[in-house]
Amino acid sequence: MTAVDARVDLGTVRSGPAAIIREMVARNLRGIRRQPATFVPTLIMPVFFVITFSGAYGFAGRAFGNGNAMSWYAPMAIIQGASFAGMTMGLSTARDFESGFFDRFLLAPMGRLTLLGGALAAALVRALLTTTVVLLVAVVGGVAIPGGALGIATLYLSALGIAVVAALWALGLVYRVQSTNVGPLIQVGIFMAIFLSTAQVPISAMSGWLPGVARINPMTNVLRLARAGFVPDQLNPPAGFGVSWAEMWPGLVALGGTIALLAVFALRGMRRLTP
Amino acid sequence: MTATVAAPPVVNRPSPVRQSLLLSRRAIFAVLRQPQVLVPSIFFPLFFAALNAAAFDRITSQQPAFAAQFDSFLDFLLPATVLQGVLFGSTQAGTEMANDIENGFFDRLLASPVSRTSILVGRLAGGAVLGAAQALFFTGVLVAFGARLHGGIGALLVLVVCSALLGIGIGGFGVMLGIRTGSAEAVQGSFPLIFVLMFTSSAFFPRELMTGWYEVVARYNPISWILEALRDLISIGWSTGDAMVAIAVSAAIAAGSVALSLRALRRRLAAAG
Repeated sequence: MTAVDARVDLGTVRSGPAAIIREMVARNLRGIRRQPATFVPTLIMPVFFVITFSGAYGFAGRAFGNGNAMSWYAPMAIIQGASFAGMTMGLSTARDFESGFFDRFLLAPMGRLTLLGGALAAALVRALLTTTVVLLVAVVGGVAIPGGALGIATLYLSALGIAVVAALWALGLVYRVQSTNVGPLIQVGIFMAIFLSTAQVPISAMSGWLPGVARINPMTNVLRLARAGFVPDQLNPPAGFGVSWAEMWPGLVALGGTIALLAVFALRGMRRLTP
Repeated sequence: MTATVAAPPVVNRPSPVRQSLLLSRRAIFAVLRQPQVLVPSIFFPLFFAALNAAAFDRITSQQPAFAAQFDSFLDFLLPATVLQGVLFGSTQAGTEMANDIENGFFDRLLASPVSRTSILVGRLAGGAVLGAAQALFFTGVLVAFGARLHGGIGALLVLVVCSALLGIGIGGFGVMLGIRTGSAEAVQGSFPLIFVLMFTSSAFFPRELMTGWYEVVARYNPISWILEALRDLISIGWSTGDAMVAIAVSAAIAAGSVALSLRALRRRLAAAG
């Protein structure tokens, strides 16, 4: 055996960050195959929401702008599915902490940012899967996309953005608690962010305390971005169908700002970790 | 030398009723000692009641079929909020049973002179007490925020009885799963079924406003039968017929699930020899 071979055997050859991230995504996808029970509910629940919300609230179709409740609820369910994708990434990291596998990551010769990047990339892949499946179900169920390709692009952009937001929130908490017990706190944060917005009805249909909260909740603008190609803009009704820059930029700012804040939260949590 | 025969030790064995009471007290304290377990079944129903009342009050008040029957969307939501809390909380009975099996306490109970039925009755009676307490708590909170009970104390009593029966009913399904699988994770995995049961009923909207297949599913969902009878009692006024429907359907669900969990217990005992 040559000296070079020995060095390889000891695992001292470092892979680049891209290769490590790719391997982390592949490991996560293998986890879906091995334990479908951890993934299937995150796929089924958004589909269930599209069907039930549209069936239950169909009578109020006019309130949603185009008379079709499913066009209003499909983007919301997609955003929810994407948030589940980010959340489950956090929970799967928590399981790695409990099993001791995460300690091996920390001892491995790779940067901490790569570790975070791998988790975020896996969340993005999961979100791509759920978004595509729920969108297909919605289209089969009769949802039209008058906004065309740009409408689909803004939907995917907002879904992937929310997956990153949810993953950063979940990872920030998991890095601090290092246990799956933090699951309910992750869920409550995500549920509240989504439902205290225009998730269910437009602001004009709300009453009491909710419109005030929904107006300042960044999720309202993200949902506006996600729905841009599906329903007429709720804030500028005369604009009608079609994606306008006025509909897009508040959502992009909301996503960018939330991601920046939560990235700091997750990175500070990660910095506390010692191998 | 005369041999003295030692008198057999006196075993002070409690009656099966006392055994059940002791085990149900244990079941209640097990939940109270873990407030984090109770939080989701209290927080989420109240959160969704507050949210949905603010989101849908205006839209529904514009629907003549709805406005004719209900003063506000909060009145409409009262029974659904109570049942939602009871259904979500009741899965805990099954989780606790599975935990008992996982940590060996169940085997110690079987080795002790405890009546087999008391193990089950104790667990389910604990669920019934918690269900009744949840009904009183949720009603108190919603009434404080403006909901009204047109059916008076009679309607409240029926609501409490139905909640206790559903605590047994849903708890019984959880216990059956817990006994059959011996895995707390498997019991918790059944939670989405409860979610589906609620969402495909008339819990969040009146059936009169639904259309198509969704209305058909909600019409045949037994949770809708209970909710609609309770709603009439709460929003219109006392009616013996509605009270009987609500209690009868809840009792039927409880009886069915107790029978299933008893069967699961017998099978487990037979398998254990």
